[in-house]
Amino acid sequence: MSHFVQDSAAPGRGDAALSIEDLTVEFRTPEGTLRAVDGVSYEVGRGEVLGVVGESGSGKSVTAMSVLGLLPMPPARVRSGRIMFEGEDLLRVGRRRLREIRGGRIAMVFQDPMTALNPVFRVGDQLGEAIRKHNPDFSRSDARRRAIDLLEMVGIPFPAQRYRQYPHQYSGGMRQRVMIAMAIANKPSVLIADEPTTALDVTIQAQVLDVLKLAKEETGAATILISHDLGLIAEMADRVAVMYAGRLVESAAVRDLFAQPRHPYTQGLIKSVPSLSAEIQALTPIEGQPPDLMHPPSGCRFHPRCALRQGRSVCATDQPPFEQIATGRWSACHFHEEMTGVDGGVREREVDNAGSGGGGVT
Amino acid sequence: MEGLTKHFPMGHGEFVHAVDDVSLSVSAGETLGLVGETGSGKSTVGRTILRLYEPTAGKIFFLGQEISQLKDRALFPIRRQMQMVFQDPYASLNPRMTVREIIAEPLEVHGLFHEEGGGRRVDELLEIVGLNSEHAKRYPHEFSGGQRQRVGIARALALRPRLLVLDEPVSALDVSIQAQIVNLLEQLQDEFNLAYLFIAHDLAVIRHICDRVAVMYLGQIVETGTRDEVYRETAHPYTQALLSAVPIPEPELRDERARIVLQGDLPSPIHPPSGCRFRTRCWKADERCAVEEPRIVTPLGTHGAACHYAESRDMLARP
Repeated sequence: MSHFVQDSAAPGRGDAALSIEDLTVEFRTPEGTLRAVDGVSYEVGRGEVLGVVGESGSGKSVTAMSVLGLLPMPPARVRSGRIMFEGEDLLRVGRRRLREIRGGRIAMVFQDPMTALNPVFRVGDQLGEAIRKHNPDFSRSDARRRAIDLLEMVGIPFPAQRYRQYPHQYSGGMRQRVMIAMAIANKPSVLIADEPTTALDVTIQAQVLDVLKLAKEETGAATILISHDLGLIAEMADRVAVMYAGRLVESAAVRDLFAQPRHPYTQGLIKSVPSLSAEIQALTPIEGQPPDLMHPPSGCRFHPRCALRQGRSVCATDQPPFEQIATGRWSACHFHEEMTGVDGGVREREVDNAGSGGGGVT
Repeated sequence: MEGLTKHFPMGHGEFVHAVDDVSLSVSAGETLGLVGETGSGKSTVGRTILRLYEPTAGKIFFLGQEISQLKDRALFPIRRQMQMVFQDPYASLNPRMTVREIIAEPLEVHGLFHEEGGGRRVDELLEIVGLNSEHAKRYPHEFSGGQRQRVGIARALALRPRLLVLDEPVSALDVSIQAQIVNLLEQLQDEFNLAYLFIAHDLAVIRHICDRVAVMYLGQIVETGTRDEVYRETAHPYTQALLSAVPIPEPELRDERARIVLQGDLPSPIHPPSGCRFRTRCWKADERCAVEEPRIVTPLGTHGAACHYAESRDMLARP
């Protein structure tokens, strides 16, 4: 590990528009305290798309919601960390300041646009309101003009007529376009998109992704794209951070990550997805079940399901540090150096391990 | 099934044309994929085959017998042999029943519990789906999504069916668990020579598991063929657009693939477009498409597309 200069503590390019440092978030539940995010650090640079991948319970959305103070507190509680944006720590600014930033300098697009739009107000008025809130000098007609321009930009047909309609008169794809229009209305410098196309059909998803790309070009915003869909991440992201059970396990440039994952979880995810075009082979699932965050596994949280571990005890006892392993690459695996081949070396090892995997159900 | 049609009344003499004139067949040991987007009618097809919905028109044959008109009593023994696995195993399992009760229920309803070996049969079913008898006394909420889907599959297999209708069986599951369930379904099919009607919107999963594929759009089949025909010699413009729009986990191809981005949204199934239903979003459409409904013709073999201007194209070719 001496071939490169350790350039930063958090994965990023070093020109962060937003940086999350050592964030830990807990939820208090009747059964006890659940640590949903555990020491997560990442950065996103101007004009960059950072993809954050993870399955349910990985903490990817909780991390993003912390940025805008959107977590319900209680039960949520930020235990430690900083979220630095334009010289301020967003975890320590007042509510009023956060409201100014939210929807202004930092905007968010959610999975389900129906819950984010108010059903009893016209779409155009909601968009106009969002514009005027952050531009008090705009007159109503200025805001209206800008709203119609935005609707047109995101590809809403007949924007002047559509301006007067209510959310239920829009299809799911159109509502998501409105959310994007609203998010970019005030030229944010950071855009957070949490599963922005998950609720949409493939052909509509393609339309919305085009709008999202356009929005990024228009604003130059640093974009955090949160998704469980590896295809979407491969298509959109410049850099990727992979989360598992509340922790970051790997981060790399998108091509490096897919070509040569350096964490067994990332590799397991990639191999779990059937291909649309390659020769059909049996899928290699990740065995076992997702971890119960009330009782997370000791040491490396992935160790009970890991194909690389091979019974080594250190995985169950010591939490692997999330550390830089090459220029632009981070991994949290004691044995990442064993993952060097194109296939990462795990497939060969699995042969020795055959039979021990089973259904993995306890 | 032949010419299956299902319209839902909307009042005021209007109908949702959920499924219109759909013909399909699936054999023992075979998987037929039914793929389409929201509102394509793919789930309605699955439910109508099982007679959970009454067909408006058309015929359904099961093991050579026409079942489309059978009354409840005559249908009862046939229902045993056709089972369904749902998308959301949490919503489809009774939360107040233990896993043992959930799996035993179909056996009891059909009066076969003792004949099939009672509790031993339940343990056997649990083992078949990768669970064990320890799980039998637990309740659905104690399981993860993947385990619940295993319970749903065990229940569906309890009556030794010949056909499983699988309606989005993996789409609610995390990626790492999806692969487990897909592998389980493949293994069960080999073991019991099951026929699968696999309904899904995920084109990669459909390709992985299916022998033949039918693509639906607005209540009709627009393309059908073997897996390779549909995926590599794609003939219908809608299927072409669909395949080109799927993001694939290979970043080096991101700006290299042919992409067709369709305009607009799905038209209303209450007043579907005249002629070809896809014409309002199709770049090839002309006057003929508005007046003349294209039919699927399969002069040789199995591959057909309902398009006046069908042309085979490999949307997944590498540049």
